[in-house]
This record gives sequence, C-alpha cells and structure tokens, in this order.
Amino acid sequence: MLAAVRTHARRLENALVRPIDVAWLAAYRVLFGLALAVSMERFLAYGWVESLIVGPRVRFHYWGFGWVEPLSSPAMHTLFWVLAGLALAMAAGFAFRLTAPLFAAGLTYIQLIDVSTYLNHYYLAGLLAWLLAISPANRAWSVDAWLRARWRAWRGREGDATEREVAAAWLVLFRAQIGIVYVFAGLAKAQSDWLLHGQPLGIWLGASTHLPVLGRLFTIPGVPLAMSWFGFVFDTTIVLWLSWRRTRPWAYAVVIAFHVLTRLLFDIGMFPIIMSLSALVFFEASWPRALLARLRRREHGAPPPKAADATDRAAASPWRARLTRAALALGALYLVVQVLAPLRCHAYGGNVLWHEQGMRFSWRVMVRAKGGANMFLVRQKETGRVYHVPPRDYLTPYQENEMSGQPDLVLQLAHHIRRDFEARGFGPVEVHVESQVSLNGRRGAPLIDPQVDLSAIEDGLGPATWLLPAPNEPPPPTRPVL
Amino acid sequence: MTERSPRQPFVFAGLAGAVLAAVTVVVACSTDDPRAGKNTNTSSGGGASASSGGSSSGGIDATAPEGPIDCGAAPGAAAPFSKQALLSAAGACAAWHACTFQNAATALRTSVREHATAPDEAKLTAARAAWATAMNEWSKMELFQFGPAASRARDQYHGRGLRSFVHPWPDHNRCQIETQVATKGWQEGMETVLPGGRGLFALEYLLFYPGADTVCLPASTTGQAWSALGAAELATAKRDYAVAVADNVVALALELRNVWLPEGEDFTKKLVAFEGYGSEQETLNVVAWALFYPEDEIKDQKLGSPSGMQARTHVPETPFGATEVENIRTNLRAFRSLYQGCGADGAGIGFDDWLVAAGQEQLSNEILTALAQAETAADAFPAFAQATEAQFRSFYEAVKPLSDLLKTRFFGSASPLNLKLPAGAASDTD
Repeated sequence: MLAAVRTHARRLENALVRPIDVAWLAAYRVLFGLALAVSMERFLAYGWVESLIVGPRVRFHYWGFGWVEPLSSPAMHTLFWVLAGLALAMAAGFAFRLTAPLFAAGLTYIQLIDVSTYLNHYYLAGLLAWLLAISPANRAWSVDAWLRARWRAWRGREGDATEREVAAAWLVLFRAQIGIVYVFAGLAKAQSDWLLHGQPLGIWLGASTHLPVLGRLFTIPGVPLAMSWFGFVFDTTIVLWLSWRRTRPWAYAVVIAFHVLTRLLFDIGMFPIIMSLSALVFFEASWPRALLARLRRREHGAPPPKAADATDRAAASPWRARLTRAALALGALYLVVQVLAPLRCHAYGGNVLWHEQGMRFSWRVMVRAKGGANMFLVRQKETGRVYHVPPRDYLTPYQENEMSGQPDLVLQLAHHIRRDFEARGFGPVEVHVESQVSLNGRRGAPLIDPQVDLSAIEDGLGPATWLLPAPNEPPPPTRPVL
Repeated sequence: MTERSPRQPFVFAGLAGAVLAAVTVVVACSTDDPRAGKNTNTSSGGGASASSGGSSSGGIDATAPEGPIDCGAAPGAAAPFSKQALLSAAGACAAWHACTFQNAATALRTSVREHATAPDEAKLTAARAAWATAMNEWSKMELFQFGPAASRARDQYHGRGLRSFVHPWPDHNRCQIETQVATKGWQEGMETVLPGGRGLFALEYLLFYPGADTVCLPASTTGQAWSALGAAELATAKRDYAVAVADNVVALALELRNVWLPEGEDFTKKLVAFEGYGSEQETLNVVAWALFYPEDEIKDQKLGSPSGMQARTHVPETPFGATEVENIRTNLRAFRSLYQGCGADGAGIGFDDWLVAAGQEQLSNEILTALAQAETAADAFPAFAQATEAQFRSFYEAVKPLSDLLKTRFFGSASPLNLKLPAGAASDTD
C-alpha cells in the first residue's frame, strides 16, 4: 500500500518537474507586465490615486494590517509611476529578480491601504504578480536572458538547455490559479437569485439599453435570465473546454467574446484583459513559438532542447531533489489555501452575499447588487443624549457606498466615531447603527442589530453575532428599460 | 531547422506588447468611460470660482426684459416612458423653473431699484416680498442642480457653478457683503465679488437686516471703512449694493434661462444626446443626483442640528428673511416635479415612471408615500424661530424615510435603476 502511494507520488513528482517549453511563461510575463503597467497608469489618469488612496480622511484597514498607511500625495503618485515602470521592466524581463518582487510588493501595499478599494481582480493581479515574481519567467525572451547569452558568448561558453525550459509544475500552478478563479466565480452563481430570478444581471443590464442592437435585446423578457445561465455555465465549465485540446481554440474565442461583453457592460476595468490573457496558460506550453512560426509562415521553431530527466537530476543532486520537493509542497499548500479560502464562508452559515463573512478572496465576482443606508447613533452614556451621525461626515462617497453593505467596515467606522466623539469631549459614548440594506433589488432590511453597541465589539474571524439574518423573500422582478 | 537569432524573442515581445498595449489602451481608456478624471466637458468656465456669474451662455441677446415673460404652463404632458423622454422632461422642467425664476428675479430687481431711488417702508416691504418670491422660486431650482447650474462637484461634465452665485448657502458670508458695502469694491465689476457675498443671501441681508454693525474684524480694512461711514451713508451704500446685486441676480437668471432655451445653449438637447456625459446612464445619474437634496440638504443640513439629532454646525439658509420652512416646502414640491413629473400634482414623466417600467412599482409607491409624509410634516411645521427641538426632531423623522429610501434603494449598488450614489470618486467594480 505504502509502496503504491510512493510510486504514485514519484510519478506525480516526475510529471510536475518534467521540463516543458518556457515560452508560455515568458509570453505571459510580457503580456501581464504590459497590462499591469496600463492598470497603474489608469489610476493616475483617472485621479484614483488621490480620490481613492490619498484623499480619504478615514481608512478601512484589513484585519491585522491597521499599521498600513498611505504615503503623502506626491510620494504616492510617484509610487504609481514607479510601479508602472516596474511592470514594464517585468514585461521586458529586465532585472527580473529585482523588479518583479518589487512590483508585487508595491501592488500588495496599495491594496492593503484601504479595504474599501478591494476588488477581486486587484487581488488576482496581486497573486499573479507574486507567482510571476518567484517563477523563472525571465529565462527566455527577456533582457536578462539576452544579457546572459551575451555574457556567455563573451566567455566562449555554450548555452544551457535548462534556460529554454521550465518545470511543468509552473504551468500546473498557473492553470490551477486561473481555473480556481473561473470555477469559484461560477459556483458563486449557483444560487436562486442568479439562476431563478436573473438578478442582479437584470438590474445591471438596465444601464446598457442605449447600446446599439444589444440594448434592445436586453429588454426582451427572459434575456437577463438566459444571460445569467450563460454566465454560470461559462464560468463553471470554461476551464474544462480550455483544457481539452479539441475545443480549446473555440473555447478561447468564447473567452474573448465573453470578456469583451463584460467590459462593454460593466465598469470592471482591467479584469477582462487580465483574464483573457491569463486564459492563454491553458494552451500548449509552446504556443507562442507556434504562433510566431505561423506568423512567419514557416515550420514551428525548434523545440527546447531535451534536458536531463528530472529523476536523473535528482539522483545527481540529492539536495536539489529535497529543494524541489519542498517547492512542490509549497505550491500544493498555496493551492489548498486558494481552494479553501472561497469555501470558508460555509463555516459561518447563512447567505454570504448578505453577511459578507468569507466574501473577500473568494472570487464571488459580480453576483450582488447591494447597497444601503447606515445612520450611526452615538449615545452619550452620561446624559443618554443620542446624535445621528451620517457616514459622509467621515467618508468619501465611494467609501460610504462600499461600506454600506459590508458589516466589518461599518464596525470599523463605529469604532472610529467613538474615538472621535470621545476626543471631542462628548465623554464615553456607545455607537449603534440603523442599517437598511438592499440585496439584488429587495426591499431594504436591517443588516446590523441596532441594539448592539458596536463600539464594544471587536472585529475578528469568528461569526458576527451582531448581524441580522438575510431577508427570505425573492428579489422583485426588474426589467431593463429602453 | 535553423537556430534563431538571439533578437527574435524581442521581436515577439515587441509585437505582442504593441498589440496588447493598443488593445488595452483602447479598451481601458475608451472615450465612453464617464469616470472621474475623464472630463469631456468642452463648455467654458470652470467651477464656481471661475464663472463670472454674468451673462455668457448661449449666444443670444443677454439683455433681460423689464417685465415678466410668458413661461406658459408647467410641462407635464403624459407620454410613454423612455429614458430619452425622462431626460427631455427633466430638461423641460428645469427650463420652466428657470423661466419662472427669471420673472421673480426681474420683479425683485424692480422693487430693489424703486426702494433705492426713493426709500420708504412701503417700498422696503415690497422689496422684501419680492425677495421672498424670488427665494421661493429659487427653492425650486435647488432641485435642478445638474448641467451648468450645478457645481463641478455635482456635475463634473457640464457644471459651471451658476447656482452658487444665486444662492451660495451654506457658503454665504456676511462679512463679504459688508466688505462690498463699505469699500464699494463691486463698482469694479460684480465678477470681482466672491459668491458668498452676493446673490439672494446678500439681498436678504441688505433688505432684512436692520442693524448697523459688522461681523468683519474692527481692525480689518472693511471694519475701518465701515466705522467711518455715517448712518445715512451706510444706508445708501447698502441700497446701492442691493441694486448691483439685484442686477447681477437678473443677469444670472437670464444666463440660466439661456442654458435651457432652444435658441440659446439648448441644454435639453445635450442631455438627451448625453453630450459630454459619455453614456445615457451617466446622464441619468447626474440628473438623478439632484434628487439627493432631501437627504443631504434638507435632512442633514437644514434639520440635523436644530433637531439635536446631529452634532454639526448649523448654517441657517435664510437667517434674516426667516423663510426656512417655506423653502423646505418648496424644495419638496420641486422634488416631486423632478421625481414624479413637472405638471400639476406630479403629472408628466418622472423617475417614478422609470421605476414602474422597470417593474419596481412598489418602490415607486414607497417613495411617493414617503414624499407625501415629508410634505405633510413640512406643511404643518411652524416658522423655524417658533419651533421647539421636539418639533424639529419630529420633522427630521418625517423626512428620514424618504432619504433612507433614496440612499438604500433608489441610488447605490442596490439601485434597480443602476443609479450610482453621488460620487466624488468612481472606480472599477469587482
């Protein structure tokens, strides 16, 4: 039994360390780097550095990251320019071992500044940036590789075959990461609002009825529901179609069409572009060479030289074998975390779209139209006097909108208001909140127990007992209108 | 098989990069993107501080008639709903209110001139009554803060801040008025006068405030000039400045009307064509944001502090004319004219029709019920000076359901009409 397990483990290991063409990873590095450079430029061009990052007076922090603060406005603008430059350097494969980790770290820092700016695709970009940063993506088609080749030529040495290959585990890792995004985005749609009522897509399509041809189509009864089903089937199965060689080209065409449509209909920024280029990892590892050869109308370029078998290498270098196994174990652990993170919401019970516990980092992309009004009630403990405090006294409109349906952010603001009132001489106060939250077009319902003094509640990973259950009624039908 | 040139990878990288960059830039920075920083406004003028507040719009003769003009009946014809029809109706309603305000402003100017020419109590009373009428008409325009009337913050595409020159509340400033009275700086041209020192607030102060004191610092230039004026000189200086301000208000009224006139700027046409807004939905967002008035201005700014419900500094809207409750009543009726329809009792196309067409009749009715509740409370409310804190609290509670509905369901991420909350910053989603 143990021997059989060992045999399978060894086979798996051999399959994972099997050398494959590095072309896919190099191409991905180029495309991802360019896309992220544009993404950084968008922040500057749209003024988001000021309005979203530097401007707000109050910031929502990730649990455990309360110490992360933005730089000054000029420094933050400079940082975005630097990050754009680093992304380009990453694309070019220039000083990759330095530029790629710096870019990933900068991207992560930006995202940690304020929770209200969390977006699934920023999170995905951060993960992919780190994966690229630790990968050997600069082995080919990079300034680094070109410099190495020049250096070797100068020293009169032969090229190393391993510099045109990469372990298959890298491809598995990237495919798994992208696959997890698609599949969990699809599974998040497996709920009645989406599949039975066509919501919130029915609501969202109403904003696009001015589009030629499509706009009129959206107003036809049943179209939002049909599109909801298409989205569900697409997300849950596209990895399968992309993985199957015979359907791959057609599936990729559908990927492009799908993401162009989503970009047309929703303000989802770079997400369609990141996903469209990320889906390329499901092609053969040497797809860029094949594409280049086709463009030049000639035979597929030379395959990467056959490298030594992984087992041979392990036998030749035991420490390398141990290192490889450790790396594979780390990769496996990373993927386990990626699979468990979207599932953690089930530990809380209830409707995650309502209580939001386990919502972030779980690829629940575009599945809720949720908003509401929160009025904070500050009660002086000594006098019993109650003050109504609208969130906009502290927050930007963007922050207020984001906070309205995310209870942990409401809790953070409650604590901030308590500190502010006590600092202003109101004495010890309690902070309650009257919340009315609407999910997917339903009537507003209280999300937070108004009897609870939020200033006495500490944020944490445990179930939030101060939240009220989600409304049971189905969402009302909403028709897109011309 | 031939060995590749070491430069070939760069050819690929360059090709791929150029294609992706081109696609990315085209998609990511499409000209239809109506978000912050993508202002496609081509109209002249900037924010509030950039406008002259004089007649500059349109291209038609900017001379205001001395008498009233025929504004006709309030537009409220029934028609099948469409978003285009809604934008057209909103524009027509704003144009009609701009017309009636122009008549009120003209009447106010006449009264102020008559009082300045030969002052007496009767003429002062008439001027005060004319001011109250103009204030009432403007209280309707308060609900139509989109397009050039709005500030750049409210309408980043076309806002020229004209509103702030007519009614600078809550940023009005008595010392700025007294500076003009004492130094006669306005004689250099009204464009030199800051918004806080002119408009209806300046006229309110000049017509209603009987005192001879100043809030400016005694050691300041204004303070010294003020103290050097005798009582008669001061009264004359106030009347002279009142005439200048009244003239300017008429000029602004004319500019506002020209914004909407077909032979002027014809802004309704721009609305319907979502010119400069990038998309029809963004145009509807900006127009709908005017409906946020009961939440921000009425509930929080006008009632929040007097009711003791909010720990904020209260800036009375009309501290000398004392028309606060009348203003709120008019604000709410104007809300109805934009939300439900501009005609009598809400006849015509409004946002309620959009909700009904979208299958959200229940929400539409809830908003109308909440509006009626707020109107009833406003009608029954005494003058602010006579109201108790408990009465203010009750009034605040009566307005709150309307503002809650607006924030919870009409606007924001849960809006069935996809209407964004008034946002100083937009971003990507998900």
